[in-house]
Amino acid sequence: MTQKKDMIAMLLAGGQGSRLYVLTKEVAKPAVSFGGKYKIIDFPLSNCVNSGIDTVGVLTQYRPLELNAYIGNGQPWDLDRMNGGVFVLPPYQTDKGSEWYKGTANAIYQNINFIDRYDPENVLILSGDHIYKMDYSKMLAYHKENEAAATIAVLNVSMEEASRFGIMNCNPDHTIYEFEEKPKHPKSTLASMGIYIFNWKKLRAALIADEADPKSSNDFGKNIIPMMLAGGEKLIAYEFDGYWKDVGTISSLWDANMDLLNPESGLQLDSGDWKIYARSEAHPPHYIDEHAEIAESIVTEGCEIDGKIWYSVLFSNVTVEEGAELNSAVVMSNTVIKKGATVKYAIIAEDAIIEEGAIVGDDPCNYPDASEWGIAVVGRGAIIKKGQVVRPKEMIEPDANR
Amino acid sequence: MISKTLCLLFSESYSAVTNELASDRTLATVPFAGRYRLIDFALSSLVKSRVNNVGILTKEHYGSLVDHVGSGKDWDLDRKNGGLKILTPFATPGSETTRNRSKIDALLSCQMYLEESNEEYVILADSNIVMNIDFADLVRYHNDKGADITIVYQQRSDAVYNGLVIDQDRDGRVVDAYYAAGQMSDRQNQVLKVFVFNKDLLLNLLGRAYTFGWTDFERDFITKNINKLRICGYEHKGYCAVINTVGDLYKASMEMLTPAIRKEVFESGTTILTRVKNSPPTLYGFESKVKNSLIADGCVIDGTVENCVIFRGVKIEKGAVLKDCVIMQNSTIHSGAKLECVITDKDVTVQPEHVMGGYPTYPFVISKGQTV
Repeated sequence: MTQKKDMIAMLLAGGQGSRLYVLTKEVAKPAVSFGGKYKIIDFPLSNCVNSGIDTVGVLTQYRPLELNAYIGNGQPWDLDRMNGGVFVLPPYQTDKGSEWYKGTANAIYQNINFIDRYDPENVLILSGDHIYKMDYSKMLAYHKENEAAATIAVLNVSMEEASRFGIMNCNPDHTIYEFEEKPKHPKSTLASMGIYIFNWKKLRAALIADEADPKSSNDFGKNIIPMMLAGGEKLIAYEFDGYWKDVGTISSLWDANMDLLNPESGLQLDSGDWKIYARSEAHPPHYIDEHAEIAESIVTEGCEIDGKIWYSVLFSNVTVEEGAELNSAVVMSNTVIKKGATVKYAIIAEDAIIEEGAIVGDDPCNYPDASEWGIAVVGRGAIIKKGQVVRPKEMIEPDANR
Repeated sequence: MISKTLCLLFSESYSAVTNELASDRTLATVPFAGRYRLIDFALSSLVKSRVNNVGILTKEHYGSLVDHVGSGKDWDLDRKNGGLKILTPFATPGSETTRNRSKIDALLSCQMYLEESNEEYVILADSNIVMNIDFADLVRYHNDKGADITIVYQQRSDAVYNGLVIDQDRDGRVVDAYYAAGQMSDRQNQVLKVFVFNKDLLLNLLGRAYTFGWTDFERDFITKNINKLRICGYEHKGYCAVINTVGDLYKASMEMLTPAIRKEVFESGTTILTRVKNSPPTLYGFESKVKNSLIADGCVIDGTVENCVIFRGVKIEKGAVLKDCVIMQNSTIHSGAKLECVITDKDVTVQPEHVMGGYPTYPFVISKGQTV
């Protein structure tokens, strides 16, 4: 007999994240590496544990292998529990056939049985593509205090940015009267962060009703929220004012990594009271050799550094040989940057090799026409041969050899 | 064979040598190489060699050991069968004999554990040895030689060594064992305090030890039996550092800065496992100048660091200069401080502009939690 839970979390981790191009060719977006030793999914998972949530369903669909292996039994996040813990929930087959998750709401609909096992009062819906630290228990307290059917976390963004987000139009008491997806002329600047707390009974009914509608695209933003609003339910906005970033694009992923180097950005990994946990292998400390110069950078264990590094984020086990130069680069685990190679304004995925004298990316100030410039990306396991040039904005496929 | 082997690790050396870093922790949990404790090396080699039944014998103040190894999860030693056990001293009120004065006392207090186990071979090892050793090969050798006891040794010519030395015949059988006479320059077979015993023999010797009140493991179990038992020597050819004194620790720490030694210890196929602490990566500031140093995660470095080993969570402020130092967990070195040949234990704070130094042969030690 499972014990009744106050709130469990459902983490939507099935998306491909197609705007991360070569980085999500082989892994789902939540499994993309971030910040030296983390993956994007570590942030919502750690937030759950730090907020006292001990049961998390992770809904996977696209390229689940890496994610499944990474989550494992949930031990790194302290989610290996007797009652609850972390569960990876892929789509499954039933006697009536089998279906992929058609949309965010359908993914939860297909797992109503899982949620019912814990008979929770409330369900927290999260997505696996945001970098932020948030105490969901405060949001839950707010949700209960307002006796809302649903509470939606919102961020106050600038007017210019507002048309990129789902916008909540609210009354002065924060109750929501309208939801607009990417409005051309936004009426409000309260953007949905994709974090919802629902009263489970009400969400359950809404999911069943939504599933019965063949025209629905089974999406929380497009269907469930408008349906509940139309039904006269009390939906309320919960304003969050900390660091939050959607890392769904190459440039935003690069930005978020760079934010770690800026003490003013609001994103700090070493604040002791809100640890971000990750599954990590045991590597020895990193070694800095005779010729190395390092400034304003992050270096992770297992690295061997003999080159020059400015404004860069190095993941575990990266080798930077003598004479190599890195500027504003994000270099993921096990990559080797050989003698005299240059990497600027670039993201290099895991296990890549940048051979001697190769050049990846360039400084934006060399490009007067901003549209010609962008972050250069080298996919997992790719080899950039001696003396080759990867231009800004260029993307090298995983395991490519050029 | 290795599946029929269990290991008992001694968390203390039971030698007369004092070590300031082991005054309020076990020798086994003295911090080493930026993120490890000494016992991690023995545990990792055991796990690699598939010895899945490991008991750690404790003496006093073993809180740090319990804290470090926990259930053995980080070494994959939390098992239904076997796994890792911390064997605490066994004392009844008024019993003088079981107070763990010696290795023999320690073994006597876990006699029951030995009797109840199904294994045939027992590895007895000190936990203050930094090396990668193939225990499976060692036990195979022991069996192939038909030995009763196998002793691990290394040919070394350390200037100062007063431990046990063995001489062998051509077949590898130990024909003499004696204590080295202080200063020696010739190569000699120094005993590394890793032994393999047939379990029945060990229990038999322990029974006699109890009856006759023996207390010296090397004298009573080894040297006395050279003619009676078949005792063989097994040479360890790779890197090895035995850490007894602070000087030993300092020397071995500096050796970790040599690429060849570091590669051998950390990258030769045995992953050195340790307790995972989830520190974020290390952040380098604008003013940092770092050369030839080993630096763990969770540090913030903005000063000058040369030939140092820096542990997790250390903060080195702008303008601080560190040379040939070992700085342990969560220490903070404020701006303008200058340290040379200094070892700080955990949680040490060095205030701005302070200048301190020792010598490579006699490093200056700042003990745990002190503010200078």
